[in-house]
Amino acid sequence: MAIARGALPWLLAAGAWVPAASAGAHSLGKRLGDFYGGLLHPVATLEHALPIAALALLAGQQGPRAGRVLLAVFPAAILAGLLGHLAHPDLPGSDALNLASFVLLGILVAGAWPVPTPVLVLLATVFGLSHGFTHGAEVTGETSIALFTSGVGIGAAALVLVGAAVAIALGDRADWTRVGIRVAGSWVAAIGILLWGLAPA
Amino acid sequence: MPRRLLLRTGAGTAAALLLARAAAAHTSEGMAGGLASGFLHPIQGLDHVIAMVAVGLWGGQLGRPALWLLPVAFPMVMALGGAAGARGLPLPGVEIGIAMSGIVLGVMVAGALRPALPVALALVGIFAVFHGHAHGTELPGAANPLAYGVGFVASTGLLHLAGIAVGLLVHVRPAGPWVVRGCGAAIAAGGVLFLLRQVVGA
Repeated sequence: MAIARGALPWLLAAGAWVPAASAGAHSLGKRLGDFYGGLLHPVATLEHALPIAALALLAGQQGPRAGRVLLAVFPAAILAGLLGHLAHPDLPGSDALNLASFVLLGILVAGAWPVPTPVLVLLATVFGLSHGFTHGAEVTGETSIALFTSGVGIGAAALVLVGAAVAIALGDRADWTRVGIRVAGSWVAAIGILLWGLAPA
Repeated sequence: MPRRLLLRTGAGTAAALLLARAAAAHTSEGMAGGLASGFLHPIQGLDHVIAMVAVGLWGGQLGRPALWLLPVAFPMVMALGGAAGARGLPLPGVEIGIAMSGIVLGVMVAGALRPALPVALALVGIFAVFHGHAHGTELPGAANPLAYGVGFVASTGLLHLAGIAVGLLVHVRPAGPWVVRGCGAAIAAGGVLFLLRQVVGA
């Protein structure tokens, strides 16, 4: 049992790696239908999955209550952003906000700073809207909007749930597991900074 | 606790090396190509590798909190240097700085030197900018930038981890501390070679 408990975070991490590795597989939506296309998009596309995972880790660092709040707020925000794109596809700024989400959320996780719940809700709302807006660009005339949006909502919720659970589980364990979370945040921030240098939004 | 941590980091490093070999086998376009080239870039130049491992070794020697701060702070500082390099911001003497980083960090490890924490962090931070800058300017333009960043940051982090894993040998007495210091001496010697190559141009 002790072994199983010790192995759980690693299994979750491995589970997170597998879909990330297949992130190039955008054509999945065509084969599996719009629901699964929506489900996979926030989870398996690195430019969304990394900052969303950082947001989930940030909530998990604050404790279970913040994790529950994020689970309620973020999927709603990402769906609002997605629907916003359908209504007004020309709004500017979502790419810059997505890029900022890498750096800001990564730095907050790396610093392990206490974030008050209202600030967490604000971050989740702003970046949920911007990432959701980008998801809207995937919708074509043939996409079933009901299937795609429900897939996106469930995918985003699942990623938040797993990320926050990992951070909560590792946060209780030992100093070096907490540092592991902070290193993960630092990697997300570093990837965002490099991305800004290579391909400015 | 250190022994368990040692085992786990060892296993993780082995897995990373296997992944790197797998990545080398498929250098292709797009996401996979970016990931592979980003991952391979930091481990292809020995001057980078020895300096990154030295950072980890020194962290292992210094213990907490430096052991925790280095792997958290380094990727972000290096990424700043990398972004500056990619944007074409000039940084004179990059190659000299990289060779110097091997020498200075190697000497710190070989001598088991313990400067004040801010001094150690500043030293590592300056070298992080040099290493990041070199990677940023040498960057392949065609690869997927996001995937390149992911591979680049992961592989640098795993080099630190490998260094930390060896650096934690300081807790395995009596020979462990001397093994770590010997690694530092070898890194310093390697840095001298790289510096000579830069200066002489051979």
